[in-house]
Amino acid sequence: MKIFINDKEYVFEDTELKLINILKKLDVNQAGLIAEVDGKVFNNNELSDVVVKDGSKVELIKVFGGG
Amino acid sequence: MTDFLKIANRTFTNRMLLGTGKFPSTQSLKETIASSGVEVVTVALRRVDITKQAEGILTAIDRTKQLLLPNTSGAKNADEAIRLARLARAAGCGDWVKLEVTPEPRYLLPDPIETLKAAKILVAEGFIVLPYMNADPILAKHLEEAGCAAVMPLGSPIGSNRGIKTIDSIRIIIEQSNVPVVVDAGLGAPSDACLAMEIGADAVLVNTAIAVAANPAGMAKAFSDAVKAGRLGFLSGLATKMLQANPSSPTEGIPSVQ
Repeated sequence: MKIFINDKEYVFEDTELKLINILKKLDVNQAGLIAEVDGKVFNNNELSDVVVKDGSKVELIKVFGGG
Repeated sequence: MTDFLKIANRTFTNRMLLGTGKFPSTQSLKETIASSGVEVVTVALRRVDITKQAEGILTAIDRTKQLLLPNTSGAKNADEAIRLARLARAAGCGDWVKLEVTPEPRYLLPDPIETLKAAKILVAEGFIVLPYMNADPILAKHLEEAGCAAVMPLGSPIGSNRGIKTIDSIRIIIEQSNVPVVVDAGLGAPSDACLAMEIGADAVLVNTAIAVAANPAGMAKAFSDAVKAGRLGFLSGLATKMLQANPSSPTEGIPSVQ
């Protein structure tokens, strides 16, 4: 399957994957991470519930310093 | 003397809000929050660069002591600002939002029309909206009528450190506003923050001048003290400015030269 993370294409052999497993594969630091998957937002506590399918658009977001 | 800052349903004792951008490290931010005693900190939402082990800044913030005020920085129109606010809320950052709509990068001046449009929608969705705005007294009234919890007129462009160039308009906003006035942007020195408070602002928001200082924690304390001094000066009643001298020593009984 092909998915998009922050507009960049990623290809995986699986037909669907838990987002949390993708994050582990890509070695993404999950502390404070927020995900928007196909327009739906998941906070850090909900990440393990999220399933990503072919064509999914994923935004990975964090709180950064800002004025 | 009890002198609380009340915004929406919250009361604060510290009248300085701190922006958390540009700090040299998370530890430095943590020390700055401690030294200044701020109770409101702004943050931004950004995409993560997954090729880097980006550390968020939330570890520096104790949410039992500091209210998180996510901003909508980066939004160029109302729709983008609304999306960022909703994202922040869904992400667990709470209902407060510093609404920023800045369509052009050179001066980062706020778009009044898009800001007002976004404010109305966000207020209707239950957000506590604090809009960053140009120092326009009419716009301030419109934003107040739209249900904003405070107004945040700029002193000078974001990050410019130029101080309060809009002072006459800010005075009018303060005179007319029924919601707290937080002077935001451009405050470059503690004296700028003090001036804002002396003219009757309810609070100030400072970021760059503190974050880029050689000693951010020291500068934050200086700003915080200046805010307290300016507030006390305002509450105590400033003397009237006059063109001519007015002797402070008695004019009678001056000993004559023998």
